Amino acid sequence: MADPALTISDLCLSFGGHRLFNGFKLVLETGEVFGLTGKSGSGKTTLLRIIAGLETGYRGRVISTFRRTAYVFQDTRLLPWLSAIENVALPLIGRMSKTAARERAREGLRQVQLETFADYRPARLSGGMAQRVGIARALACRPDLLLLDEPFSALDDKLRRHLTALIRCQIRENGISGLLVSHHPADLESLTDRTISI
Amino acid sequence: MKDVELSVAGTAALIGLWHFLSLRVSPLVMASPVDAIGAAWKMLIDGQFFLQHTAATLWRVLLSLALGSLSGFFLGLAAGFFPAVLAFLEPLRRVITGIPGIVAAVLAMIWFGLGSAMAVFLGAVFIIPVVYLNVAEGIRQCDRTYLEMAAVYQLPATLRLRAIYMPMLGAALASSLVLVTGNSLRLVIMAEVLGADNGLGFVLGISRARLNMPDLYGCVLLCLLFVWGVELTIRKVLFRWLHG
Repeated sequence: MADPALTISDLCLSFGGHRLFNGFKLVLETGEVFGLTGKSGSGKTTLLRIIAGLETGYRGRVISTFRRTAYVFQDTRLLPWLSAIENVALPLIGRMSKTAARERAREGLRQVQLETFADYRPARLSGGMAQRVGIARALACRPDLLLLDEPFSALDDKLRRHLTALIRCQIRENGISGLLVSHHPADLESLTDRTISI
Repeated sequence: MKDVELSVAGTAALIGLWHFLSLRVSPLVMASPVDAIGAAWKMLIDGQFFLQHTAATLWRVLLSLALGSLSGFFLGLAAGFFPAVLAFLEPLRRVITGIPGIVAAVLAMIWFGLGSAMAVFLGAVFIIPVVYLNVAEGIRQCDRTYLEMAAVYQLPATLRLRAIYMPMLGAALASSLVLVTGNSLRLVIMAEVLGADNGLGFVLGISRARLNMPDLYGCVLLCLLFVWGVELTIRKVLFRWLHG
């Protein structure tokens, strides 16, 4: 068994008197993909935010050995003043030349079937397209931890299958660990090694 | 009616009103639009006048704009990112925004003597708080969701500034620059009237003393022309950058 790359222990967090986590534990091994499901407001997104370092004010321990995290946000968080390709290339700037970053971003957009929309700004893209740009941005930065928060919610079944296959392939090829939040059993089944309901 | 047509109609109405009023008051009080435009045109095509006066005023205004905007911008950045800096600078901000222009002009004359340094200081010092407040507030109101994205993807500070903060500040910055250009010109002209031996403000002062109304109103037209030119340039450059 591989070493745990992420260990969460005794996690306690309350929001407005509502207890989200009370002694929550999670161990994620390198290359493992973990599924999270559960009703709305149960803390799935909050857990991803804690792992991404965006949430403070919790008690417990979160020990992570991941060096590069990518996050596919539910609300995409594309910068509206940048084109699709510029959004995908953004995390790569400073890590490689501008030309190489743009080339890798174009490749990312090709993988999500949006190459012809490379110069479009987010306002001109549909919700599903914007979600795919968000996925391209996450995969283009070659993370070792991929956090996916309802990444296919605005996509039709055909695209959903295509992107699930793409992410599964990237995860296997590059040994990426992941956490997927989804309400869709098929996504959880095809992408994750195990799933818990919280 | 299109906006441009309405704007032309508004300008024509304003000139018409000016002409109407100039016929009803003494020429020692108000020059007619024809005389004022003629005087402004003469000032524009007279090379020596341009170098001695118009260029001197333009240079002072541009210098005060640059100094004031840059100082305000960097102080605003610091105050936006660090609340302690905002609190520390607040008393100074209140002093500068509260002090009457004429009092500041008198102080500037005492500190810098007569001439360009005093005019540039006066122009710059009143620009700083406008740009400073806009930038500081823009940083503080910046959309946190984009900053979270930047944090997850470990974007360097310079890239965050360039790719997230600057575009979000752009609109406020463009508006404040348009606003301060007019203010800067007003203050530089006032400083020149009070204590300079060249510039449009100096010509204004001399024209007033000699009751030469066409030259006085011609100077005003030149000032307006300059403010409109700078405003158009700022809108064109910044808005093109903002909206792609």
